[in-house]
Amino acid sequence: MNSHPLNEWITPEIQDRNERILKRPPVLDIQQLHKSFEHKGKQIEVLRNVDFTAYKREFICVVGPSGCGKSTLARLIAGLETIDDGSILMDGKKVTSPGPDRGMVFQSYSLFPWMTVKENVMFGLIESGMSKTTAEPEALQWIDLVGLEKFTESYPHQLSGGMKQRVAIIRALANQPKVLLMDEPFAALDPKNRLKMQQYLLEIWQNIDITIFFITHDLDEAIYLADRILVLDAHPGRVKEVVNVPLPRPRANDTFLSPAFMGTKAYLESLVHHEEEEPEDMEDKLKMVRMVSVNSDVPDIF
Amino acid sequence: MFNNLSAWFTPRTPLDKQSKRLLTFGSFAIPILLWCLFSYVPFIWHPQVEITQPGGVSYFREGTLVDKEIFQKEVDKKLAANPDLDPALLPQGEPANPVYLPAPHEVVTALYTAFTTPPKRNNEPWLHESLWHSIQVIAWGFFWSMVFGVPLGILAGTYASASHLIEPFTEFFRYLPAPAFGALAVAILGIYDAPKIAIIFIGTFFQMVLIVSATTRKLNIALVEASLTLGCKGLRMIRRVVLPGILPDLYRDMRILLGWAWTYLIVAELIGTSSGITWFITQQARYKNFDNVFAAILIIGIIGLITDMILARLGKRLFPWHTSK
Repeated sequence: MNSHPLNEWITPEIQDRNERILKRPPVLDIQQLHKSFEHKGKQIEVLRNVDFTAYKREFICVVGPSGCGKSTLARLIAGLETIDDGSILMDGKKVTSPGPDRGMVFQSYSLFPWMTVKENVMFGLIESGMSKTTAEPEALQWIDLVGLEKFTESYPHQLSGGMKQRVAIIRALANQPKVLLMDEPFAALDPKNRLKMQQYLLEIWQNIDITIFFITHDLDEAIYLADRILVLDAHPGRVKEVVNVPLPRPRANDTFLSPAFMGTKAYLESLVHHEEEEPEDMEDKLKMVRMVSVNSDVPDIF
Repeated sequence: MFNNLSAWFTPRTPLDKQSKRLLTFGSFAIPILLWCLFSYVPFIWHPQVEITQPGGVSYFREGTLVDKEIFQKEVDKKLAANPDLDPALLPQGEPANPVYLPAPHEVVTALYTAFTTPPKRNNEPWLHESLWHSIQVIAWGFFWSMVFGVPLGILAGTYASASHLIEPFTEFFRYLPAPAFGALAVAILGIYDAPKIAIIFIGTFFQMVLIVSATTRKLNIALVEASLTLGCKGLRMIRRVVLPGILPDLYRDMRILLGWAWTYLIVAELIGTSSGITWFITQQARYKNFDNVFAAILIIGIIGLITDMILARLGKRLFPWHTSK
């Protein structure tokens, strides 16, 4: 443990917080999870032997190279895919099908286009048996929370990408799930909006009792948001490491520039990208683009 | 005038309002203009001669139509018999089109007179009665198709199991031409409206199942999955999410299928006792009132176009969220 490269930034406060998290009751328990898909008659192993436990009110991010099955993992937890082997326990109960205890926010906008913002947020409440008259004020409260009061009666197509995802988040949260699964929810947003949404999300998360399981391929995002980062390996997806993020909470405004942040990022990069193909043949391709003989005397632009 | 004429020739580029109007006008004006040219310019086509003066030829009557060659032969015969014949006494006539190509003005008049002319026999229906009968047959046929076709299509598009159960047979049945069931339909359902409705049903139902299932499959899967994670599943999910999600596309499908129903109507109405607009058309053709035949065909087209335009307008109102696509 002492030899871990990130330990130098783990202050006693962070250490203390991490230890306290691990003492909380586990909410989500993934045990020996296997999943493979059939593709053109061949079995492709997506996840192998995944073991992980998320604790109450923890913020987990999952990163890994493409093809590591991180989306599949989220969909398995949501109950949108069937489990081949192993099990996923929610509060000790086996997950077999989708349920309102696990909310999900998708990468593609998944608001119901024929419903207004308010009706979208009310959807889950009504499905869980609430009457319209009680669901409405509750939905309005959530809409207030993310600052969309003016858009209560708007249709999704009238909203910007960030606003749509805010509605998608509160629609999932309104059902009071124990776990919120987020599958690259901000990937389609521009960087400025993405940061804003990340801040929103942290603020919401700090104020309610929810465990967030956040899939992303953006390492900055993962470090900024997570308590612990689950790093997956690809082909097949396995747990490579679970990284404790050595940053204090709440996150400082300049946290992106802190040495701890950069160090963590460099470390994660070494984990995620170590076996990906090196761009060694790029040079040859560039020469082809120049359309001149490799040996001819062309001044280098550098 | 058309400063962005280049847009006409750029693929998939929207046009300005003026060009749009001009082209829409042209889309109707060009065929009508061609029709006028063939009808009113004597040296274009006009393969026959309408006799204005028999000139002593036994079978020529004033107003009869004969082929140009036959007319010329008779004139030559007269001249051969009596070369000094006064040209004014020779058979005379004007170039004319065959009886089956009435001129535009005749058809336009027929559009009006067809409605005002009483039927030849007392027990025969007026044109508007025939039309109303046709519309009823279409409406019932299409209604029953929708009652069974839409739910089956949605089920097949939502559940892979339903798709495998429903679609293979539908796919096979779709290739059986609906009119081929005519004799069978009459044998089972009698000679009146029932077999006609059945033909329209057979013609549209199987297509409808497949088209609706394809439309349902195009619904963004994230919407279905979102509803599942929000605790909404089964038939309730279909009613709350799938149906409203596909409704605008479903509506468009129905508009297209309604056009097909009109095609099957014409065949269906020939089955058993001929009835409706088809009966009117065959009857008028028998009397060689081709202006009425054209008028009736035009009426079908106009009814189709107008219903479609009304439905399109209505669709925009019904589905305001759909404009974003």
